[in-house]
Amino acid sequence: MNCKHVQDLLPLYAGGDVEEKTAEILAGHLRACVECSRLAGEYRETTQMMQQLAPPQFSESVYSGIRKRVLLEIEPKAAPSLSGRIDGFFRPKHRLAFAAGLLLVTGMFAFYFISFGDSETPQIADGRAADRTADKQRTDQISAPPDLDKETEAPEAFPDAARSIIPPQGKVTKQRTGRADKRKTQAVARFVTEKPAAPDKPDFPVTDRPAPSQTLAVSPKSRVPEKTLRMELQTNDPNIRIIWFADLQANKNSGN
Amino acid sequence: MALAVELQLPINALTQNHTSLGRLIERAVAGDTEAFEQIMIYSQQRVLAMTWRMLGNEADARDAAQEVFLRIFKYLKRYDQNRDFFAWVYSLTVNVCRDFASRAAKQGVQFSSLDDGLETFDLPSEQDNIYIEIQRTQQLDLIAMAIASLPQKEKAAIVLRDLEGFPTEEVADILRSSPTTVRSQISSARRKIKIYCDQYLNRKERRAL
Repeated sequence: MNCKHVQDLLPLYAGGDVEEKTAEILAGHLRACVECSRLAGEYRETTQMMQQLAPPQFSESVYSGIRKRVLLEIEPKAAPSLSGRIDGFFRPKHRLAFAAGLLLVTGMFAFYFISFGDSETPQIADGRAADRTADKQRTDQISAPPDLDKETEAPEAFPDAARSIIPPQGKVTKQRTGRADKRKTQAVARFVTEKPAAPDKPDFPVTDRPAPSQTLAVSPKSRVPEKTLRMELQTNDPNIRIIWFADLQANKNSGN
Repeated sequence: MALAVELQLPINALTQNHTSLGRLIERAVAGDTEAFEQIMIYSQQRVLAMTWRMLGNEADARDAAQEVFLRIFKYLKRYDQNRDFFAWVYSLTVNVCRDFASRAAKQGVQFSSLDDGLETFDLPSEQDNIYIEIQRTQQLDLIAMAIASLPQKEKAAIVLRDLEGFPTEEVADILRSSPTTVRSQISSARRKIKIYCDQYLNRKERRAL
């Protein structure tokens, strides 16, 4: 091995990066060659200097500053964002639960509209609920006083009037559970002395009694003079009610 | 081994993954930032030392170290547990430093060079301790600047081999290259560094004497 070959290998030899056999050959040459030996010494010196090259001692504040900046950068990525949460919600395992819930809600709405959708709006239904309470009170008034039936009979002065107003098919029983198209003839006569209900509320007593009698109700505690008859005619339109007052005493006097 | 003592690192961490490190990696992959901070604490000295050696100044070294940790976090899920963790970290570090250097080259910025006022100096007498310390400091500065003048691939190879102390085969693994290529890069780098130092250590003049 001549000097040129040896000098080419000296950088690796100085760092111990040649094979053992090659190193032995090089060592033999260096023992004999002064120039190659001097060069080998310089390479070794440079390599040793490199190995002593230590970085400066960085303070803890330098390290903590780097960590702080890195954490500031990665924390938004580590925490799931709003879009990430939405994506996570629509993962396969959550997707099935969401679909089931949606189906259930849809089914409930469908059931509700099939049952009530073509009859009334919820507001009307609420109004009916209030009416049921009022009707119940009214029915109690009809059935409670034993002498009330006597008073609720049509006055003798108007037997024909009451019958002619009420159509034969004018059944008013259980109308609140029926549909709007079943309420055909609600023109009824009521002899009442109490304050009439609001015009937008159907005012039909719910009872199984025969039509003429069930449409008559006279409050014994009426403020209207007893000799005054008040007759209400409820048309098919719940907003239209005909109220007629008659002075019974005057009729009797004229009849006499 | 000497490097581990110098950097005050756990010795076994140089060559193999620690069990606790494996758990920390798993937690960090799951999004645990505290675990990732522990990983940073565990590797910060090596990363910053490597970036400083590759880039030659503290400001760039800090920025590069930050970028290294961001890449570690980004690619941690791809990390193969069978591979040495620090070899993988060094691989990312070398890539980041290359990016920094190429970016600086495009912007016309040069990292530390010998033209910063360093002039030729004679070796002081070994009998004077003060001058021995000065001589050592100057030599280290000279070596640092010589390394800074190397091409990126040779620089990475020589830093990993001579400064970080990795065997040639591990350097090849980190650089994703062959041992033969790495050996060639190391040889070329050492030759250039010696030539560089010859200019300032007056070796030729000393030879003439």
